[in-house]
Amino acid sequence: MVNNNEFDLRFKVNLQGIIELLSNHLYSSPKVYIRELLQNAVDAVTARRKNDSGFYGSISIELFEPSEKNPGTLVVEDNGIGLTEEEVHQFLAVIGQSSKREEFFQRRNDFIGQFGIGLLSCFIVCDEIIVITKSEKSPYAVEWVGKYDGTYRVRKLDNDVSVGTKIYLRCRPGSEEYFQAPTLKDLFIHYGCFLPYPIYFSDGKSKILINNEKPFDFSRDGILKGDREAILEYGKKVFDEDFIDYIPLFSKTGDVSGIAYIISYKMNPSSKRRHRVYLKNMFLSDSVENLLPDWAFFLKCVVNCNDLEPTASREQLCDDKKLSQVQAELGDCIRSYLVEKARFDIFRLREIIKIHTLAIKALSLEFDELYKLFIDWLPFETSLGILTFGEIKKRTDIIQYTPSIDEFRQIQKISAAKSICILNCGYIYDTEIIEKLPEIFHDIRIERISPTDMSASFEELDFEEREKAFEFIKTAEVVLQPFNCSVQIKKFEPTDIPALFMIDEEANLIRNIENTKEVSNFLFSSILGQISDNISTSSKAQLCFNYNNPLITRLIGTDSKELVCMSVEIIYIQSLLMGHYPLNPREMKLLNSSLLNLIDYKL
Amino acid sequence: MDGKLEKLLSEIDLMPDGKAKLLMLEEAARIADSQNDLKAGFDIREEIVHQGVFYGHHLNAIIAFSWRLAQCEKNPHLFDISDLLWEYKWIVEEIYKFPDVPSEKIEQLFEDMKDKYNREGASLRPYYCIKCKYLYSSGFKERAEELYFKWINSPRDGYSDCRACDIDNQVLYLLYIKDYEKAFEMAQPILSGRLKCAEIPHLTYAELLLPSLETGRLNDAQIFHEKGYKLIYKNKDFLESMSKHLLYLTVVDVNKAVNIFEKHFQWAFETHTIFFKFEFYLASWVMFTKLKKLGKEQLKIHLQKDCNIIEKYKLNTIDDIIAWFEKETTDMANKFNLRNGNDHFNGVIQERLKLVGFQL
Repeated sequence: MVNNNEFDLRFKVNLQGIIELLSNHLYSSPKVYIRELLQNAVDAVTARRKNDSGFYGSISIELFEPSEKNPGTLVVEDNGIGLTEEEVHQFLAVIGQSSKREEFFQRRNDFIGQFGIGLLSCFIVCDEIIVITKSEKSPYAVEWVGKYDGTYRVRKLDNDVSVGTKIYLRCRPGSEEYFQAPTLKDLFIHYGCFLPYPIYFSDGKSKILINNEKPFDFSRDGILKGDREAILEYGKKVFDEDFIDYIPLFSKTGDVSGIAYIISYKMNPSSKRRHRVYLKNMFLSDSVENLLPDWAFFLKCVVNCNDLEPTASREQLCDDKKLSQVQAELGDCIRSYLVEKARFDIFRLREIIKIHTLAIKALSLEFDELYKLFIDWLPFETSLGILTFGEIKKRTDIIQYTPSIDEFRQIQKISAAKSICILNCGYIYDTEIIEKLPEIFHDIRIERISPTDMSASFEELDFEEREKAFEFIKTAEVVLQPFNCSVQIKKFEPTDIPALFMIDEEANLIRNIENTKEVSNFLFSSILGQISDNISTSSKAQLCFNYNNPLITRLIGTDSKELVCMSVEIIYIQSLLMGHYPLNPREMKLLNSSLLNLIDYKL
Repeated sequence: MDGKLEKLLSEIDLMPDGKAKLLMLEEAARIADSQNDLKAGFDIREEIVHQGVFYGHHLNAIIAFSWRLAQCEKNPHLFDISDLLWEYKWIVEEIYKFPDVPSEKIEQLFEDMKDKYNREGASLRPYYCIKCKYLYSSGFKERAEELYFKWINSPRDGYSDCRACDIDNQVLYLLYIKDYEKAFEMAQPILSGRLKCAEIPHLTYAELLLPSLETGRLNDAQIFHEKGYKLIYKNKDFLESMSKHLLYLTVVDVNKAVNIFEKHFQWAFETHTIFFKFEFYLASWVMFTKLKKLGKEQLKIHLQKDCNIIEKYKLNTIDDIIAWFEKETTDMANKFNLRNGNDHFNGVIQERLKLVGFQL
């Protein structure tokens, strides 16, 4: 049918479809309807108290558990401000219109709710919602009946009802699990235990006050004066794990207060953060990720905030400017805690560093002030074992380090033999930390050491020795030339090492390309070839023979060129294997042939 | 097996992304290879490709990918080629940035990519997109235009870039053809924060810096710079974007430009990706030329030890520095021109040098 009128037509929205969409995609669990119910009630009471600050608000929940005759009903009642007939139409039946509601509640900041989905989320567990409400402003009460199929009715009630709102939810067949007393009681406590007005829960048999005793006092005084054991105990209860210590958190922005607990095991820096957050005392989520700065991955926290925005699902905090400011302020709290520990409780600090080395290193890089405090306690792997920087400083004037574990391994043995302390900075943050030293402490000198630098420091042969080794070296050069490896001979400790294979980052890259070329398909092999041809080939792999090694001395003394060739081949292969360098097909072939030749030679 | 590999891998697992992780992964790959553990070598190299592509070690990514592709082709029963299609598009995009790879090889590479996408029944959208980028960045305007339309008219599927990247790529093309107004309009969903990913808006901010200056959007440009720089200054994968920030600052606040140069020159000096090196060196050339024009003959430039060209090549005066960058930049441009058979890169240089005289 063609619409010949000039009127705009309205979209028709299928309520069932919307509810399904919301429950499956927006909310993480159907349980959120509990939160929406509590939120409406609390907001209503808060609104009434605006006009009458002495007013005593209360909320009561009554459950009729499902039985064979009865499908189960949940009734939530508050003595809050109530709705007029006009407001009922506006608020209960319009989805997504938050501005009107805002106007109604005057200052949005005092209220938990913001989005116009609210009550309709109850359709996740029921087919019909009945609301009976009487506004302060209205002489009569109103009944609203909303149905899952998207229809609703409103009628005036004649009988006398006191100001407030009563909501009836009838359990939908299949949703019984959400209408069981133990489950519901736990859920109401879970969401509402910190809420400011008394909330009673009754299941026909007993009646309890769910927020009778707040499990924790989030006020500044409550946290600062709180008993250490009790605070740790609370953390254990919330997260079901033991913590080393805790840090009080406060932020003026967002009006945030809470506790950060220090995790007792090593954390992955990229792991998901799971903080528990209450928003205006209502439970928001157990998995808020963006509350603390990135570097604070060694903490789990519980906080309440009074002035931050939730996302539409009300399960995360909006990632806005305000939240970044909160992150910064909470970050300051954590930093001042660490500074205090560095000054007055070094034992605790060392315990934290031992477990959270990575986090502490990351932090030191971020803040110079912490860098200065922590540096002496930070552990590094060195050629003399794991040492703290404080210990390293005592052993050496110039801090020498390698930027990769590969290079470290190449020179570890030799430097250990000479009792030289070399740092392995191949692990994360270590290079950055060491390279920052001269910037922070002007009297500390650092030096990046490569295996080739190391070999440069080996003792040279004298003229006579060089003369003796001349033929040997010449042969070795010829043997290793096809493998892109240069040859040297020097004297070094320990003498039981016949030769040292050394390769720096650039030469390693070239070796990597060469090896990959051999396995790659034709297209990629030629592309790799073209790229590598243009990388400066000044850096080559190097095999440095040890003149002090008895085997090498004997090889130098032998007349058999054939034996020298085979030996050099095998020493080359052996030193590759020692250094975990996988053999390429050509080297594999060399290994096989030289072993066989050696046997043959011996026979 | 002695558990060494497992231990290393669990260590790697804890590491944040970046160079240290890449080096450890390469170590792990070497161990896996020497233990003849193909499966581990394959998986470890997937992570190497990832680290290489997103943290600025493109050559390492290309090498690891070549190995993976070879294993896939040799052992189709062990590995599935469809796992490589995502990576393939990144790798192709890295390879043409090396001028030593001749045009016919690049064409072959695109053909191979297209073939593999077709065989998997994947949309050719990424193929058209990257080939279009290659063509226009090499100065083949008509062919690029033809592919642009094929690209935007191809359907999206599981191998397509995310929406944010896709829009950003289109913005880039529009900037290339100098349709600035349309480009800004196209970029709106990114600038408003509606579309974002690990690299967007980082790249977009940088791309829009100079066009914003040219179209008089001075405030926007400053915002793009401030926001954009914060997003990229820790990751050398954004070297190309950094070059654009350097050019922008050269125009608006050359003292700050010197700062950026000192901080990030090392990225350019170390990279093997010639195209990125070219961009940064060209921007540096422009910056020093501007400094000279402003009469700043006596300059103290602080560079890290490993990349201190001033000491290494004894560049005593600003003229020496300018001459050094000019030579390095034109050498690279000549290589690209030789490969492409045109003089497109000369045009790029001329256009950038005009910024020396840009009046705000």
